[in-house]
Amino acid sequence: MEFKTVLSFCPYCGCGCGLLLEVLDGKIVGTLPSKTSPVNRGKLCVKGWTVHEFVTSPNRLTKPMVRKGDALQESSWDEALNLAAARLKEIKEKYGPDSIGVLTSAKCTNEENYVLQKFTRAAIGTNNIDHCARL
Amino acid sequence: MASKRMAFLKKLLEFSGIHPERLRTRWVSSAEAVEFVHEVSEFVEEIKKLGPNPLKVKAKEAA
Amino acid sequence: MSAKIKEAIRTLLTEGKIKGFLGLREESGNIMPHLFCDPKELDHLSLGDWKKAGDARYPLNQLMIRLTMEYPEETFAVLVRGCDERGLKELFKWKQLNEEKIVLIGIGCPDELAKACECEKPFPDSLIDGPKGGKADSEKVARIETMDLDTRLQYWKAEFDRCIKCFGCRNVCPMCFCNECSLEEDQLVGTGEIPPDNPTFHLARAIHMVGRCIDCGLCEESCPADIPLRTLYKKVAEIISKEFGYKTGFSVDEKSPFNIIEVK
Repeated sequence: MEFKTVLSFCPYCGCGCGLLLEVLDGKIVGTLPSKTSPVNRGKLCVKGWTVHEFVTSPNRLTKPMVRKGDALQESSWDEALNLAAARLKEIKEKYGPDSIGVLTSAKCTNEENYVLQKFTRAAIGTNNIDHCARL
Repeated sequence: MASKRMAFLKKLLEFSGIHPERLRTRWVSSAEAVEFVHEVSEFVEEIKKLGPNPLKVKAKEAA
Repeated sequence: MSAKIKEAIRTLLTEGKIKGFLGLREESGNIMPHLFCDPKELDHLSLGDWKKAGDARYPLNQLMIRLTMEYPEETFAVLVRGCDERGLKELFKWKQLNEEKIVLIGIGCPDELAKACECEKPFPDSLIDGPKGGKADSEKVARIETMDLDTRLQYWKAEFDRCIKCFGCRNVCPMCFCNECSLEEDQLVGTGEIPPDNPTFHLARAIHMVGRCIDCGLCEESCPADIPLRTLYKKVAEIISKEFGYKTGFSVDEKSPFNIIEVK
């Protein structure tokens, strides 16, 4: 058995509040504000307090999904990725790169967001990228 | 049990700046219709004297 | 650092009397809760002294409840100050923790901390090291009582108006263990309103602190709006003490005056 708290930082706004993730046997089970972080000194807003909830949320997708007709259906990585690549290519060729927009999330890691913006700007060729924290 | 909570609540309201007389507890049996009317009418008069709820007044002023 | 406390923990671990010690760890200048299962980890043991003695405190009792729910058969030790021990006495009565499975490692609070907390009793009965401070004078409640009724209302209304409903006070509270919290009930405190219904939110919380609040001060420390929550809850404790002769965390068998449910 192992219980520890791991110092991390709130992924949401630009404040950068220090928080402690409670980890019991390898699973994140709770959040506490870090008393020793100079930014927030032991205080958090409601989003910071509930950071652990999205990590283990039952609403998270576990399989890629493709819309067939009206409904979303479980699919394979190959099918989903091939479809996305083909359609994006098609739309870019027909309507131009600026007809595509990309929406990322504060719940993604910095690395994931870096890749997404690189993909949007270099691969697709548009500046149309934004992020939920800006809204 | 209820009387304990009421005694406590009156003191807490007073500490928070709400007049303790705005909260009143009386025991009236359902067979005592006349007494019930009397209690309620008297309470309404008391409350009118205390004036409108200061919290609601401030909320209206702020709006 | 206290050599006495470190040794007490080391002995418990090496003799296999406990599965782990729930305390605080220091790493790169940060202090955080940790379960020490290996005596070698004790090199990083902290007593919560960051900028001042005891100024980095966490709700260890709350973490303990989480551990014992997952491992109900194991025995653990936990770091306790005066307030933490008061909390444990109540949690044992409320059957949230099993006293046979918890070893208390008591530490006394220094004068400066006790005075800042206006602590009734800044040391636990299970004291291993640290001072046995005296009861500190209470001033915060008295200051409010010098105000007349109208001034008091304006004061509290202004304070509660800054509330951003972060639920920090409730989340950090070592005594809050309800599975369904009244404060999240839309019929009591409307959802989507900032500040939350004034004064319903805070008075509702204050009422729920009867027989529960141990005056640890973590709520006020976690409030981003610096609302003087402790003053409100201290008054609650004062009313309960005067009217019903009950002081939270001092008795091992007496139940809170608002507790009418027999827990078997």
